[in-house]
Amino acid sequence: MRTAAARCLELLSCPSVRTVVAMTASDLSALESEALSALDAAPDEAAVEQWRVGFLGRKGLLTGVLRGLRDLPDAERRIAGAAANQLKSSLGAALEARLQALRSVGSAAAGEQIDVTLPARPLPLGQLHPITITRRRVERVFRDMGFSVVEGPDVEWDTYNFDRLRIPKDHPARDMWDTIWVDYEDPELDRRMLLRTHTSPMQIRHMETHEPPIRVIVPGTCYRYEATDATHEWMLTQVEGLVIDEGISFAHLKGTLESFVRRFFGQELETRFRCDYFPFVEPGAELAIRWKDQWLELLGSGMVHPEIIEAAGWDPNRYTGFAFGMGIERLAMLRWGIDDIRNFYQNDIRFLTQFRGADGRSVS
Amino acid sequence: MKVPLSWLAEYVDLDHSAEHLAHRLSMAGAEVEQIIQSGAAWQNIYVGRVLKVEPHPDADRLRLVTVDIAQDEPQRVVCGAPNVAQGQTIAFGTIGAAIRDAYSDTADGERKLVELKKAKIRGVESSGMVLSERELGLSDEHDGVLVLDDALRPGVALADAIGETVFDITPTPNRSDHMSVLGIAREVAALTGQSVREPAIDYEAPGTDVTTQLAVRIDVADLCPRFVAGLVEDITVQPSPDWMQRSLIAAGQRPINNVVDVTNYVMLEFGQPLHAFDFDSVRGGELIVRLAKPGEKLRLLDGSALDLTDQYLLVADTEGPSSLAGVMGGEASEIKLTTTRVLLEAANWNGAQIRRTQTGLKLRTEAGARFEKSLNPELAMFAWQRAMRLLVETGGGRASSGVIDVYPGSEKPRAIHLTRQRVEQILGLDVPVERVRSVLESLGFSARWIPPDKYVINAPYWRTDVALPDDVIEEIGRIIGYDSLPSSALAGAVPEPDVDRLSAVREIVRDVFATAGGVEIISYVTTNDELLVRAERSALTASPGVRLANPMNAERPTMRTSLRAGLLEAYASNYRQRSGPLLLFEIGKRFSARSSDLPLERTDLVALIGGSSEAGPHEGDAARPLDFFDAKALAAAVGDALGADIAYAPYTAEPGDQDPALLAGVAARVSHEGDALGLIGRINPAIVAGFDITHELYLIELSIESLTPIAPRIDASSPSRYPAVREDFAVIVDLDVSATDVAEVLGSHDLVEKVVLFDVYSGDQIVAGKKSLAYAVHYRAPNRTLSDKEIGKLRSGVIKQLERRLNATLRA
Repeated sequence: MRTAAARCLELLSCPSVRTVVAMTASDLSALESEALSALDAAPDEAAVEQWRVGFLGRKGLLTGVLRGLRDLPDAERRIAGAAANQLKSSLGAALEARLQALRSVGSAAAGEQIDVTLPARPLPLGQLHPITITRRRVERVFRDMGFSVVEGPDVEWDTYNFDRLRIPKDHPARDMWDTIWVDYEDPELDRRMLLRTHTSPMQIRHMETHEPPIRVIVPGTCYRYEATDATHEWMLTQVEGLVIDEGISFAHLKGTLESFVRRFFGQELETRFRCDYFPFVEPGAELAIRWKDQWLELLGSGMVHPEIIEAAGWDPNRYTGFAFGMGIERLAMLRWGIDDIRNFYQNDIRFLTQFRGADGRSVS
Repeated sequence: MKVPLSWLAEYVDLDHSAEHLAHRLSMAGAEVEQIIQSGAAWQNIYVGRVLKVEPHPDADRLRLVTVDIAQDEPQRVVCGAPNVAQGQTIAFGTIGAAIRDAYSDTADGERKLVELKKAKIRGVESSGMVLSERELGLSDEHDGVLVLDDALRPGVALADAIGETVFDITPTPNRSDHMSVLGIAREVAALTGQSVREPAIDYEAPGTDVTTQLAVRIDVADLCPRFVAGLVEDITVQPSPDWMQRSLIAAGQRPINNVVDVTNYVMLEFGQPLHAFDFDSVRGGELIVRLAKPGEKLRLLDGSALDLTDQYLLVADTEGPSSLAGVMGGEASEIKLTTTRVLLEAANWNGAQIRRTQTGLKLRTEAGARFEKSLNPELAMFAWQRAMRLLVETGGGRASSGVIDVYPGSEKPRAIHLTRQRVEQILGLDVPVERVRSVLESLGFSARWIPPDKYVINAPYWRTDVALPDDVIEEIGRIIGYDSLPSSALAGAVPEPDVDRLSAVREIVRDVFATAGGVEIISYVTTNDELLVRAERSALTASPGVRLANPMNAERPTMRTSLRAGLLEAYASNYRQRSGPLLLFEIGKRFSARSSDLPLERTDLVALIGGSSEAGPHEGDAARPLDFFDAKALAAAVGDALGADIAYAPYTAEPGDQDPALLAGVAARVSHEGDALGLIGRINPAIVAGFDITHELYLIELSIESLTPIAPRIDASSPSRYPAVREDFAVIVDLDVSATDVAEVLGSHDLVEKVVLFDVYSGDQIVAGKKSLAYAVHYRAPNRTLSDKEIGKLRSGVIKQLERRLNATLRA
């Protein structure tokens, strides 16, 4: 497509055409817009000067047009002349403005010098507690495997915490959980109040209100009457898991927990299961992981005891399941090399603010 | 349970390394916590033979002992032990030996290790030492030197002669059989494909018939399922043989005399505790198993005196209590050096009863620890026979013919019916019949296969933990090895998710505070009244705390009814660490007691903010003390995160609250559509000072339960393409008119897009008692450009409303 400027050039370069009859008003306006956009595109003063020479200089386009007007009849020359002069002055003004703009930008870019190492204005991001971060990560892993997250009360009846988990009164298995008791007994229903020693009572509570298939985890705070040291805390955070459905076997227990380890730690770790005893599962198992050349116990697990399934009102020959429980503190300690469990609840912000970059509020 | 491998080897061949064996046992459920090498510390200690014992020239109590340790010269040392005698085989420490300092304290369970040095004792050079059990770290015995088996050769390193490898095994509460060496041997046999060499239990019984000399009556059959007893007459009470002493010492028991040692030995061997009476101290020729009568007293073997009640179970004679059943014998019928007639009891006791006794008396014994796990009554007879044999073997005498066996709790063994299909259902693996049978038989079970898919199984008497088909399946699984079982991902339909809005809202609020710069804390949930009062002044009213019966910290016996104290404590201990502002927050439960039900547990967010923004190097970075509006910003951010239109009303104290926790003029109640959400505001300076905090502190307290029902109402529309018109209003109102009231009037027309307050002024330019609020009101129509005429109408309408509703005028 031929531009207006090219057409002007063509007319001017052809000496046989002495009259520029073809320079109509619309031609002039096309020339104007072309000149203005070329001016806008000029990146610096040198380019602007080139433009000036090209359009407004002695041999410039517009000058040529004006020169060509001389040959026109008076009446036409007056009309066309006025239009061309107006164009000349408007391009002159645009030239000035463009130079101005270029000079002001240029001075800023060239003149200002900041020290980028000065501190930023504060935009403090806070810090989630490492237990929160770890709990969310565990929840995320299990949600991805189709688990729901449910919660239960911290203060419990011994019937839920013990009896209905097949840990009767006066049974040595109760020694597995040193208990902090609430100063309250219910003689009518022969039950005592306590601070839950594990999240397992929620297994029973969940079964009371749900039907299989069940696939839940239960995070929560637990309490033990236990002297504190670098590896023991009397207040701790557990995550319980419960799966009940038709066709659930020990193979699913293994597969699920192995997958959990892989996803939580983000790497392939050696795992092993050994036989262990918890009154509410049969068979019972403990999962250990190979961590820095040592086998470390990570969690307790097992197939839900058939009597517990039966007590929930389901046929244990039809429904089977597995359960597990793990300590959040231990997971956090392994993941971040924390050497003393007591750090978690001392609320020293020097400890608590070390977990920068660990939380990932949306991707735990 | 300490299991010396030398003892274990009497019943099974130990063809693998201790480490390998420990691993196999642990994987199968008998966790070996530790492999103890006794004697690993015995450097420069040898077997020695005493050649000569001479008096010390300058000390009556010391003697000079010459010992052969198979070196060129016999060693002569000074020795203070009364029992050292010529011809004895002893443990001899040479210079440089590492021994236990017999008189150091035992704070860590072990006495201090010291190096044996050359010494001059009462003028005589002594370059070595004849050692006691305590000095060797074997036991606490220090009355004399350790006397060894004469078969040991002098000069042999003691560690090689009597060093032991011992497994320290922690039995799970279900496995009473793991509290015995034989039980562990059975486990090893099953894991290594052997069968156990059973200990001999037969013995000659030439004595009188025990049933003619003693009667046993059980008054409480449910508490004593079985009582077996017999007599050994003309027995000699003396030290037990070396092999028995060595086994006992290695297992952590102190040898006493042959009779007591036999009962202990058989208890460790079989897991069945036994009791030996001095028969001449048993009055009336009858033993009665009964509950104690209130007021009865019993002095135990350890010298303690018990005031009995009817919750304690006794073995009594016709005159009174003789022993505390299943836990500890009585002093009166104790075996003495002069005892010649020993009555040997092997009983079975109700586990719960024994546990109640031990818990009630805070008295735990080896016997009680076994009985409380409910042993099988069948075990009593085997162990009793074994002990009768060993009594005769170690003390001579005549065993009585006949046996007293009162057995009210006798039960037929119950067969367990297991299907092949159930094994696969639970383990996820179809275990071949032959494998199932060989595993079970190696563990002492009988397993009959009834095609097409059934097993009839009988568990051995020592496996009290196996009663159900799934118990048997665990046996199969653990012996095959859990690591050999298959592993697979969950299949099947994913259940409908349980949606828990409360925890979702809680986590949103958590994120708001962390993103706004807060540091999350988690405090202990216990507190006390003093702390509550200090944190909340008179707000300590409505909800009674949950009191703990045995709190971890006696000074904090109640569950918190509010989170504020924990935050104040945390703020106080941290705020000096920070140069800028500090925002701490916690989201957790508070507890209030309810009558005859579990306490009400409610979840709160509590945050504290205080300090000054930092003075940075940049223009306009002046330090600014944080104030109410910084606290309000956080509440508002929660509102934004949840899509809630949060309203703020001036906080006034509860009626009658003379000294509220928040400063009434600088605090607000936060609500949503009329429902209270919580509080924000400046904390009473007296409280702040009470926690040693030196600057203003602002509280944000929101109830997660109250936030939970809030559902964002979103009705999206396309933005108007027509321009907005801004009109400014400087409104003069009385001081008590709130900014929200004015904004509400200004915004009451549909065409108002937003109302922004940009200036608040009261002072010289304004009449006293009034203030000026300047707002920018943005009008916009969805479908047209608003004309000047329309705007003029809107403006005059609003001015009229302001006048009428708020008595407001426009500032000139």
